[in-house]
Amino acid sequence: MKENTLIEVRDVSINYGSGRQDAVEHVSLDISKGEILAIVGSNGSGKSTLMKGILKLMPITCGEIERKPGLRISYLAQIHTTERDFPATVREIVLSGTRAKHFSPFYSASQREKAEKAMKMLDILPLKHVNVSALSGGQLQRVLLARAVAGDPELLVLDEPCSALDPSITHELYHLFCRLRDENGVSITIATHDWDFVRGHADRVLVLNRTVEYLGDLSGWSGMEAQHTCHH
Amino acid sequence: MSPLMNLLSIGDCEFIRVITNPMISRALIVGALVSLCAALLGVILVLKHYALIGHGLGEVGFAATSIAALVGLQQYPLLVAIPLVCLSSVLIMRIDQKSGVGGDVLIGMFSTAALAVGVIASVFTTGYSGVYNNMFGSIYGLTNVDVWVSAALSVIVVGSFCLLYNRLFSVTYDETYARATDMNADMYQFIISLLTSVAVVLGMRVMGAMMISSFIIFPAMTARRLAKSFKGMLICAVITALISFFTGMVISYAVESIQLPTGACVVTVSVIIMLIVYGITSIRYKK
Repeated sequence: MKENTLIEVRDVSINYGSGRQDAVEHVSLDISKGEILAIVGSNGSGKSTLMKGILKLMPITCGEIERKPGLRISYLAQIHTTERDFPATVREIVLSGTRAKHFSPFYSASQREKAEKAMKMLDILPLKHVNVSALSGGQLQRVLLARAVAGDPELLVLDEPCSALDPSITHELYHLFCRLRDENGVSITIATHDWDFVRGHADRVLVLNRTVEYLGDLSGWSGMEAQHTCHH
Repeated sequence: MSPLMNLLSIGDCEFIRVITNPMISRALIVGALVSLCAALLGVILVLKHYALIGHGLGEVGFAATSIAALVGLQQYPLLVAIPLVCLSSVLIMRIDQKSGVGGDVLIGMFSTAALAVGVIASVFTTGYSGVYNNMFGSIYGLTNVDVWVSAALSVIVVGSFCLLYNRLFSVTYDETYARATDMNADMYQFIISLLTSVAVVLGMRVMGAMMISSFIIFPAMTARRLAKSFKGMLICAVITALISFFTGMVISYAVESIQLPTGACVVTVSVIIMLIVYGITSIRYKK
């Protein structure tokens, strides 16, 4: 594994039970420090499955995924995966994203400080004591991103984080992702359908259609023009 | 003496005399400690939609107690009940995770199977009076072993909630995120299952197998309505559970002449508290 590599995926296949077709087939890629890697592909192309494999939420059928030892990963999924009517305040949720260095009862001072910083960065300090059920979709997604940031991640995995959000909030979140990369050196791997984001911000793009169709920087992909015309 | 007079006479010296009676003090200590533990665990179980596990395990506990009597261990029912109930809860959890059979089906299967085994085992030993006691509790039949086991359980439950608070919250609120950030969610579920099993066995001694899940569900539901934070819900549930238990205890003792079963009184009080809370809060929400 190279020094700058956070995760190395080697020849990975994943299927949902034996006998079924592989959802992801022979995928190899590496994720490096401080880069924005966009994973694109139509619905059913295996984007989410691959991300779940990387996050160890799904067992891989064959191949190997190696992580940098002690790698800190945070995750932000599509909206509505968590229960909305839950007795928790914004502060409690953001605090839950922090990682404890030692085993201590409740939260340490440094954990509280990290949560506070994350809420400030995402501009949700005024909502600190609000119950999550009272939040709008965009606010909730900011809270969940703050939880991810509070974990002081080296790698942030985002699975279509902006689907079902309106354009102005989507832009705001994109801006925040870039700030995280530029200011904190966080590497970002994002599954998305949004070609504007890919064109504007991604360092590399992975085009997935169960197998890797293309992996590299944007200018090198011949399918780019087709996407460009079909989206405009 | 009329029930009301009896209730009023529990004052001053009479009160001291009553609570220092070893039978009653054991009932009070075990009942309060089990209420405390069940309320804390109940918050997690209710929020994870797993509350009926208490009911299922209660019936497994009933079977285990009957089997204990059958093999001559009637003096030490906990010796058989705690391991059997722990084993069942772990089995239910594992089968639920590994196979596609739903948790509701599993709990249904375990509880009815256990009920059948328990009833058959009872017929050979204590007969139907034993079935009644196990089903509806015999709060004044508690032993010193019950007191020590419930004290140990409370220390472990409260200790786990303090030490693992952050992790328990994460696993309850968003298990996927917890797993994605390398948290061992299975281990925390395993801990919750085991603690719930011990709480159910002890609660069964107090409340009976049929009533124990009320210790888990009602305080949590009342607290859910009142609290807007997770910490608030835990505190609220504990307070509600203790109030329900002591009020139910006092009522069942005060109307001793008609022998109201304590378990049923405690459950009725917790239902009334929940209804009052829902009534008041829904008026407030409408305004």
